[in-house]
Amino acid sequence: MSDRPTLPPHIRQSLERARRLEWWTLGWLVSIVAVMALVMGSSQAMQAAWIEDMLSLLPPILFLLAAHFEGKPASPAYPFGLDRLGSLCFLLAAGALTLMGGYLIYDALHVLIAQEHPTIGSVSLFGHEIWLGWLMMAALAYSVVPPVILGRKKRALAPELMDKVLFTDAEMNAADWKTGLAGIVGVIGIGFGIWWADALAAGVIGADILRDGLRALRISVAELLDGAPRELNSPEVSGAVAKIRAAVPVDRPVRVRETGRFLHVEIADDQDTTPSEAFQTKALGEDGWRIVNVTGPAPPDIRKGARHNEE
Amino acid sequence: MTRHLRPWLWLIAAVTMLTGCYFPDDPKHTLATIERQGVIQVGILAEPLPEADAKVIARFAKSLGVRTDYVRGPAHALLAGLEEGNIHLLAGDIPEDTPMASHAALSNPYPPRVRLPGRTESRSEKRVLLLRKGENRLLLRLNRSLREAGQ
Repeated sequence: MSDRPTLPPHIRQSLERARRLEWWTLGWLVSIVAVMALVMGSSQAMQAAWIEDMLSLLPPILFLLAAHFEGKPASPAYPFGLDRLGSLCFLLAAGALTLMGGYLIYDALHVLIAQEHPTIGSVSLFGHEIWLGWLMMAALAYSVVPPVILGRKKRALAPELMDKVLFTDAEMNAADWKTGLAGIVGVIGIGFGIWWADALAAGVIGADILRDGLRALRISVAELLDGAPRELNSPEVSGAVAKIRAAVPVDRPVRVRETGRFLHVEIADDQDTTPSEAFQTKALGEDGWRIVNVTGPAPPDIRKGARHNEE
Repeated sequence: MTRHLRPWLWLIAAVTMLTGCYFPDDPKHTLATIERQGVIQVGILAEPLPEADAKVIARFAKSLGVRTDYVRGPAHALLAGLEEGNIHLLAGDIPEDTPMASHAALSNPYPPRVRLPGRTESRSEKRVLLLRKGENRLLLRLNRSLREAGQ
């Protein structure tokens, strides 16, 4: 059942590359989180950027988890294999992105409505009292560079692998560097005495991120609900479905669903798949109603109104 | 590499020097107001004002070239004055973890020696001054003055 065709060599190579990229991402992100924590102080403005960097650790971890378990054979506990793990990781990654966008907007609105003037203090450094804003800008500038580079690489790799977790992670990286730049603009604004600059910049970027997150969430929900395969970056039904339909010569309903990067094609059985009441009762007694669908070759009395004798 | 970097370093140095005096700025121009009026209004939360607090305030006022006006009154009125900008600093045995932190900005902590009641020896306990939230220029000047006082 789990005898899956092996992946073509170039896909395997790309997958390996994606995995390496994600390990690099984790390493860089951890260093960014550490640097940001150092200069954060009690600044509300920085706290948002920091929380958002913590959140962006999630998609790489999810990708690595999914990639690790992807090829695992079916077992008695998981008779269909672990294909769905990719779908689950995608949902969680999309959730992280949505949460991040939502948090940024919430934080920005909170500051703007309460008219909270962000206070940025100073630290003693090399015998001088240095405004923390400078250090924050330096840390934010540092936090912008790795996501730009890694995100671009991942985004280029995602369509080939049809990897939605990787794609979502690339979007998360885009969100990272955008919030980093917004943070720099915000701190400069605060430096010029414009207290709302930071919140406004974060809010605008937050709206952008929230939109990406909600779109990814829609796609991932469709995937988990056995919906038809969707495009990588939109909830539209993928063009692959029509191509598969055209390649099936018989005139029977064809159903395609996806788990992670893989497609599962079902050409409708010529039999009714509704179980017979006799089988339901025999198998589960009172709980027989829970069996609603029986596929695959089966003895005639298991299904209702078996049609295979008609031939 | 260094050759490419050099113009940038000059640019950064120039911007820093140009903005050095007014960056960061106060959104509500508290420092400018103090300098224009020639007086800093300090609300006192502990009576009598501990000597350590009085010292750092005197030093700060001197560095700005202004005189100090001490304002006395109920704590809440003083805090409201700070939030509205009529009072520029709050002082008087304010601990680092003051619950007023959600209504005011904290200076860097400085360690006056406090003599605990009923004890003869003194011990170091960090104190802060409070100022209006977001007045980052005033805060930076105050922290510089505190740092110099600590040396």
